[in-house]
Amino acid sequence: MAKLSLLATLEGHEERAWFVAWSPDGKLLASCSSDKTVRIWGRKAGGGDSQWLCVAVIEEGASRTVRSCAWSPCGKFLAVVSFDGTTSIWEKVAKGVMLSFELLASLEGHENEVKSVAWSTDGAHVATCGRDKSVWIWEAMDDGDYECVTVLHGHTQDVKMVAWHPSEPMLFSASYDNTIKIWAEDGDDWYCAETLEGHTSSVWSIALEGGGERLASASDDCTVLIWKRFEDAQPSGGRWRRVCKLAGYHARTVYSVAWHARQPLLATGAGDDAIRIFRESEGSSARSDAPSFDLEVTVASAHAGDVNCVAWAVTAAAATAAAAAAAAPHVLLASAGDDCLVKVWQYDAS
Amino acid sequence: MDLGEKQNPNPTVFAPRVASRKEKDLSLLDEDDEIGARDEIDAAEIFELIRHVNDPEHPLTLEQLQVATLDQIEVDDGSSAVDVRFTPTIPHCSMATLIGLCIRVKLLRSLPPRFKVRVSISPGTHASEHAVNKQLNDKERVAAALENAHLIGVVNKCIAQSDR
Repeated sequence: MAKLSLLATLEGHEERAWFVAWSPDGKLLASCSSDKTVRIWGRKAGGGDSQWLCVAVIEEGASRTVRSCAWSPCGKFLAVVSFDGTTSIWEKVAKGVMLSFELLASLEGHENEVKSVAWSTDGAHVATCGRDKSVWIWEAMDDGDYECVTVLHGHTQDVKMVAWHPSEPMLFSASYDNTIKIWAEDGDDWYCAETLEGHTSSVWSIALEGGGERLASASDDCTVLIWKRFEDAQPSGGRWRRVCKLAGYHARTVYSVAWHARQPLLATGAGDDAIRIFRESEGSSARSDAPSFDLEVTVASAHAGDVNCVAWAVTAAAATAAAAAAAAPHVLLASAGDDCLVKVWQYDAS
Repeated sequence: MDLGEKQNPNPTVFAPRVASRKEKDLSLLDEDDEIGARDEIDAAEIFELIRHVNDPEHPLTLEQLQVATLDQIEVDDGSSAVDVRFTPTIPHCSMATLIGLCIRVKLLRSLPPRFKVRVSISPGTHASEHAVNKQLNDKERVAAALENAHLIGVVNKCIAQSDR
């Protein structure tokens, strides 16, 4: 039997923990909270995966809830977004075992709450979205500053989350208007290439599969949908089509979905306080037009409150799956909850 | 929010239909009750918490306006679920979201955190029922609204006299 075991409970946030993000080398975990801070957690020296401590706190900068954050692909920078309308870019500076973060840039433009931030794979662009229904793309300048490249309108409501395609100039956004939009680049112009309709309530979270051929989305309608890119466009112009629906598993809103970068695993965090792990069935794969996923693990009461975010630990890219497995014997998952806690879990396959 | 002009200048006022429960009926408590045992919550208790919440534009309670009634409350203590429906005094009431927010804040502050509260408009009693319900049950938007100093001031005023 596959299982998810609790390795560590990280205490420190004074209010709801909204989001967790692993650094690209999997050594640091950043968490965001309504207490207006970001906490950075690291493993204690010699403590293995179960001993963690808070190695830095970013407490100045946001005057309201810190909703989300994202590490740059190089791991040196952390982008942080807040309900106060700002996005801030912080540079990591080592100070012995402790770290400190210095403010590099403030990105201002959103009218009100910024909900999500994501860094493109090449580190050249940062995308943000918010309650003003817009998605902004910012470009990193040589002097360390950021310039707005485009402001994308199209969603008719609050935009909850943005995520980049892992290898192509393509951005995904999820909204309170129940849709997911795909934004693509044409020359220097960005445009909405597709709108994915299927959810019947707010889409809270989206996650690309490692190869970028499929997308998972989680919604207030209590389902997770899997979308796949097809070579042939539909008459309406769309290439991305829904190929699977995970319904009947979640009793309440699904706030977060995470797709493991190299394993056929989906994790979800929901308003019913549970974390669930789904494994893609034997024989099903990105090539399948009708993939199937099985619920493998349910941790009821994973948090004493809604589970707002789940994130698989990232491990350094390895040439082969075997090398990756050897480098990372444990598959780690982090979660953030309404109980103010951040938790680290270990997943073991059967 | 401009509260100067009343949406419904002359609402119907109703007399309370349920007696106030000052305290839990002590005879219900068994001496063998474990210390720290889960405190069972029922619909009457939820109604007690919200019945004296004030209407945003009238010096009247939600009970007096029959915006909140006992029969619109469902509680399943076992699954920690509370479902509160409320009836706006008129179908175009622009105060509906604010009233729902007051009920939500009152319950948020009074109930143990394990409770999952849903606040919604009684089906068929408001023109924008679906939109208001979606907003009231989006916890991110509720959280953002409660960080708005002006709005939380108005909410606090409505629930200030609700502990009777």
